[in-house]
Amino acid sequence: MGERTTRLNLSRSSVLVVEDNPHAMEIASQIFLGFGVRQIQRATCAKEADRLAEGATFDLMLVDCELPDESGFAFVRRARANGPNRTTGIIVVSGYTPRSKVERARDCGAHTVLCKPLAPGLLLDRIAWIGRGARQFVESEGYCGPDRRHRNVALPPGQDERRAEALALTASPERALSQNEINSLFD
Amino acid sequence: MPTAKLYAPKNGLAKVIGGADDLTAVMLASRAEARVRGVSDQLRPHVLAASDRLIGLASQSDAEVKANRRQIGELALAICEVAGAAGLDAIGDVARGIRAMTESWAQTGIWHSEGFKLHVDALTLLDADPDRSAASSAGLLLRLRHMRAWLGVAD
Repeated sequence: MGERTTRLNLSRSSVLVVEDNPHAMEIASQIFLGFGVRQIQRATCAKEADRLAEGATFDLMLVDCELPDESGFAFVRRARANGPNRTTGIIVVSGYTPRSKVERARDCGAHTVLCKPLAPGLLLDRIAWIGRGARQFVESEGYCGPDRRHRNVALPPGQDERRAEALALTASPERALSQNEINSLFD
Repeated sequence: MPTAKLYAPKNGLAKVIGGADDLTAVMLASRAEARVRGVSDQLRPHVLAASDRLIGLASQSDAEVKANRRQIGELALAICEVAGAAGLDAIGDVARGIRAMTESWAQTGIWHSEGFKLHVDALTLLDADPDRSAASSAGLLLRLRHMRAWLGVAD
């Protein structure tokens, strides 16, 4: 676990669990109850998840990759494109997580991926990681979701910087600082 | 060049970072682990029954296994999603390997019949003695993992 002594309070958080395996759903539910989450909504297919996600804003959505009617990736992509959960924390889960699946989850707009069966410590660590993060969001043709380039590494050779305009704006020393940026100068 | 809109939305999970009166991450994780342990006894017979069904399906002729590939893959996935929470980690690991074999076949069109049979044999062995120690299963699981890597099956 990242920071074992971090104090957390999930009692005011709302969670949507999208899971078709009833036993995996039970495990996830027990974990969230153990974390103190009081508002847990459950969906067993993408259609039901769509209905719930269109009608409420969740703080976190835990989405199984393999759903009976369509993939969890398709649901995540829709949630990112429209509706009240465009910027909700999304963790994709699967019992089998080869690199190709992790990349697919990242490219449909998920924050991160966890392997099932869920380990409470790891899940909590990832929730705290999303909660602490100030990750920006990107909307572009073909992708809506958290900025996938959140590490400070150079672009691969030959790749253009699509965010050039936004980065030029935020690089200007004369622009107005956000409250978070002002706070960070004092913290 | 395509452009992208970049913005900083409100972080709905920022409120989970608590104060001095809240429980630590370790305490919350322990509470959740205790709740999962509370349901593990109910999960165990389900996992073992599903494992029996998977062995039955996967022990058929090559042609039947190929015909039932989708069902075998789904059952293997359902097992590996929960087996660890029922204290049946080794069975979950082999089921994950079976899922990897069926997905690899779907993606590449190459069927590794002997490698698949070795997974089914391993599952049969573990299913007959589900309480064997983790140490005694470790070598078996490692060899299966090496074999999948050698065959080019993504884990």
